[in-house]
Amino acid sequence: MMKRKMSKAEARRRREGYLWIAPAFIIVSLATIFPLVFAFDYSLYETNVFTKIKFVGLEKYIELLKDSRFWTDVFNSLFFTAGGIVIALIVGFIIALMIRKPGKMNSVYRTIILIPWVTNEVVLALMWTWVLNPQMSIIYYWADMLGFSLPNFFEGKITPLITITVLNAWRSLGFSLVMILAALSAIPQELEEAALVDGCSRFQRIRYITIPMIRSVVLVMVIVLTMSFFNIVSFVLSMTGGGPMYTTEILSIRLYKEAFTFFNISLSSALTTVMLVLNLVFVFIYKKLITDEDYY
Amino acid sequence: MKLKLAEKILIQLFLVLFILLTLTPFLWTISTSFKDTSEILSYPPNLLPEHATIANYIRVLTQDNFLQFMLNSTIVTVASVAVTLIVSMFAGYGAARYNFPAKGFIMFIILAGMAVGRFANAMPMYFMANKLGLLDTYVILVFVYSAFIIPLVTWLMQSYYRTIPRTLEEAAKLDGCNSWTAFWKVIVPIMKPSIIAGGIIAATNAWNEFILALNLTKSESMRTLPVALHLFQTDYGVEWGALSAASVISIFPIVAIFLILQKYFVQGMTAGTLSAS
Repeated sequence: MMKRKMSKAEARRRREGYLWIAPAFIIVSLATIFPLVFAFDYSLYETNVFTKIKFVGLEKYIELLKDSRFWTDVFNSLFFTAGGIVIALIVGFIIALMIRKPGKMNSVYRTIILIPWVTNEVVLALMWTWVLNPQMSIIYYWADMLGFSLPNFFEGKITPLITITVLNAWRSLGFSLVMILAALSAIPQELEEAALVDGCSRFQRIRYITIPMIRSVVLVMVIVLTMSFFNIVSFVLSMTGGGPMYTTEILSIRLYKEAFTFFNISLSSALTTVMLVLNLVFVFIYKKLITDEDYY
Repeated sequence: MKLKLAEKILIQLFLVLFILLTLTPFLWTISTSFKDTSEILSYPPNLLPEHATIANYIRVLTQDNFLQFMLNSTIVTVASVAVTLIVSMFAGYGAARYNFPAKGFIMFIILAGMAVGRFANAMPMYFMANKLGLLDTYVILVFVYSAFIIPLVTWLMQSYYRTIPRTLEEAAKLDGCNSWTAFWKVIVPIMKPSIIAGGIIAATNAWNEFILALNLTKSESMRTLPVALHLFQTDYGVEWGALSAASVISIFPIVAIFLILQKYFVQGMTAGTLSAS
């Protein structure tokens, strides 16, 4: 241990350290801690808009747990998040392997795939509802001409959920592609050459060199995407609004409806708390995976 | 690594098809925005407008305060980018260069901000803004947009700072700079890629944000573009010509900026993630 006594210069450096971080800490904690406390507090009351009427304890949570629509929402959310990440990862990885060599065409491809990621979710949703509209879209017309009929992607029991999951993965593909490309470019060339000399097949090289080398970047990416997909609202709200029936109603859409359509503050507070807890569980799991990673 | 010719052709074919698929909604929307209403509703649909017209654009730009919405989006975006960058550059610097008690805990709170879903906050924020009289102002939008993107940008910044050798500041201090002037004169200029990357993240985030803007503003003169587009959708229903023209106008600035600065963006993001790994 170092001596406890601090020199004047050391004390000053500490103070400086706090000063650099203070603005971020104040702004972020105002926007995170306050809502946490607020939501948990209101979830314990019967409310009329923002007026607390009567303390009901955990009743709202029990109400949620008994509600079959809530479980549909949970299933939809998990399907949407996990499915979207798997697609964004696998397709991103395949395309990254195809365009990793520097070249004019490859950077054009990368740029185009990145465009949806910087485009407004409301606009993306509108565009896809136009393209996938059986009455108006040229795609359906062309399919007709070619002699087969496309289904309506927003009808059915599970089809709408699959549609929004795939489209959302498409929206985020640029992000996963850039991250994976960055990770690939950091793999030392000698490693791959050595494997080649040792007579490894292409799939062996991908399996034993490429994948382990990009694992930690992929984990960081998965965290960012989980947060983004699990909490998404605009894209789904503008595209389907949670319908038809509740087929595309994910937790965040339910929360939106309860809070801003019905102003059911206590139920939406309970939902908020549930979602925050799930967010923290995800972070906790991933953080564990990342720190384990450091030691291999 | 020699790929066979047939394989190369297959890969290129796949990529071209994929790119076409990605561009389809954009091209279809741009095409629709130049059609008149009767052509939009006619069947069979045309790939390209038969009688191209800019009437939809004129209509959108001259009516319904669309320019006001663009101005609102611009003000909110520029202010959020400025606040986010300054605050995150400071915080990242503090985290990368200083040691002090409870630093781990403070950084955890900041980074946990990433985990608190933006939308889970809409309702509590509405309540807070209402109490403080900030509902329907630029201030509350800039505050929430900055607060939710600062964690990510701070993390990006601090990993970039770690790639810069400390000797630079030490030399500057020998030349008579203090921490503050050394930061601005020596560090900030070499941070260009990550400042641009952070700026793009903050800008796309603020320009495209919808749910918080929808619920934290009330009057028409405060609407941002995404909110206006969403309400267009319900107000005008099938007026797809106007709606698609408005869509094209609203995504144009951010996509243009992104394409111009793309090189730095990839650099900044890359440096950040790789040193984190």
